[in-house]
Amino acid sequence: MVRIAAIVLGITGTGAVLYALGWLLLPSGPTPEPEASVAPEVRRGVGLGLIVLGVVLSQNALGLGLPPEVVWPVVVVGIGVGVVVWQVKPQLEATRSEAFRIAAGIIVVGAGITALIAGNLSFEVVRSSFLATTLVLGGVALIVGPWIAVLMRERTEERRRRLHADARADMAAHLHDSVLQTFALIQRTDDPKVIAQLARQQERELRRWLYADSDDPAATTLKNAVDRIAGVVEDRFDVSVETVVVGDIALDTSLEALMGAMGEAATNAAKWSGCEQISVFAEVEDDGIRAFVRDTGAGFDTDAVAEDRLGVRESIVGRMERVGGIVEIRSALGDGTEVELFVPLVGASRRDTV
Amino acid sequence: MFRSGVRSELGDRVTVVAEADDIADAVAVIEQWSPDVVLLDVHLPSGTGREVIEAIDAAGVDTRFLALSVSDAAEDVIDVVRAGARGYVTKSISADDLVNAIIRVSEGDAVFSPRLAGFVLDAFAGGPTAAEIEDADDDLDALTNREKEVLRHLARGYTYKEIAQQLTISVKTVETHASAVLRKLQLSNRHELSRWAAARRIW
Repeated sequence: MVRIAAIVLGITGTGAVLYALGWLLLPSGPTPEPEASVAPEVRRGVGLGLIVLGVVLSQNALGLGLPPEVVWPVVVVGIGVGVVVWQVKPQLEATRSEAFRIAAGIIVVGAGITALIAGNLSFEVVRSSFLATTLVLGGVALIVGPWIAVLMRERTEERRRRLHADARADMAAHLHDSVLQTFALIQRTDDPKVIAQLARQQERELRRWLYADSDDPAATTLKNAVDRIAGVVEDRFDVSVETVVVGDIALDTSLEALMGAMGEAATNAAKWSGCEQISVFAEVEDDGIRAFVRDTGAGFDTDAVAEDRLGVRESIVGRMERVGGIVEIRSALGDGTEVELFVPLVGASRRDTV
Repeated sequence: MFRSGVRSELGDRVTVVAEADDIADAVAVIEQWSPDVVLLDVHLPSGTGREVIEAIDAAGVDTRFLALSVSDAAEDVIDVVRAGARGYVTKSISADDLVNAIIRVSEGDAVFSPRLAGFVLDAFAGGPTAAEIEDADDDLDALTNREKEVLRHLARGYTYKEIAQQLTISVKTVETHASAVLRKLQLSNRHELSRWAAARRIW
């Protein structure tokens, strides 16, 4: 009986130490950041172990009466529970290797409890077996530890290099599909208008790629929509459209209407003003979105605009009125045109406006 | 390539005394010539425009910087302006506007491209309005309504003269507002400003 218990405990002890050792030396997850997580935890773990050992030894030396048969299994159970809790706490969504480790921890706890209940084994046997395994494994750790550490560092370095190479390959692929193709096209073109258009298109595309504010460049936000509309107008009319957007917000129906009206206003400016540059400004305000489309070109007499000029009447004014928006057109002959558009914000569509 | 383009565009209203293509050269020629205005790219082959401004400040040379860049990354632009540039224009600016901007900076005024005006509005958005701030030390942290109005007009593509007409104030007053905004942008320690600049990339 005693011998069986001793063997069980021996295995358990070995298991516990082996497990603790493995945990200390191996990365703590599928994608570890070794510098960040392992070092302080190792130090904490070792410190904690020393404290437990110290407490046990001192209470032993002072003869505070707890029989060793009780103390040692309690220590083993404590270590097991500690290991399990430690593993579970930081990341609750356990991966498979983690689940395996937790299961191992539970087995250690179970074995410890079994030993505790089995009880009547001599302290001498437990202590010597525990001490022996600790010594052996400690020796092994001294020999193998640095080697494992080096391996781990190499692995991290290797992964970093690979990420870097991947990023570079991505960028090369992107530049090839975009910039290099455009350069090739430009070299085969004589028409300065086409060249300017190609250059503008490419610049816009590259900017979007470099400075994209959101993770999803296709996201239907105010910024992206304004950008897209400016691009369309630039391409169709050989003008440059300078856009400034303050704040950002997800598009809803009334904002789509605002964007449509804005596009129409910019198109009109490009078509009729004779101006090479058009300014578009949109801002998310407290109670709505306000946009301005401005040129400094020919201008027109606002009173003389015929009712049947569909562009302004239907596409801009009608569109805005249907969503409860406001349009104001300011223009004078020879003094440019500015179209001001406003739609009120309906509660739910409100997003961070930073 | 770009520099020679700018140089030919500037014509004879501005005298170009020297050019440089990296930080060390730039610092050397600025110290040598002590020009009225330095046209400074936000990005140099060996670093950023901020480093040039800091080196020149340390050397005690009296000059003024106008930043220009193809970069539209807000934090780069804000960074060089906060280092001490008197303004920011994009490289797509017309030759005439560029000359005007250089002259404006040489006279000690601030130059805001529409893009920079938008960045500043964004940086100060959501903060308290100046009227709500009682402590005089904190007035760097907010723009007045008038300043915001001026910035919005700049963002809409208005020139100082046009803004003066719109708001029926003098051009001098518009310049004063613009300089006040620049000062706030440079001196404000409003933590949102730096957090914003670090966390956000706008175009």
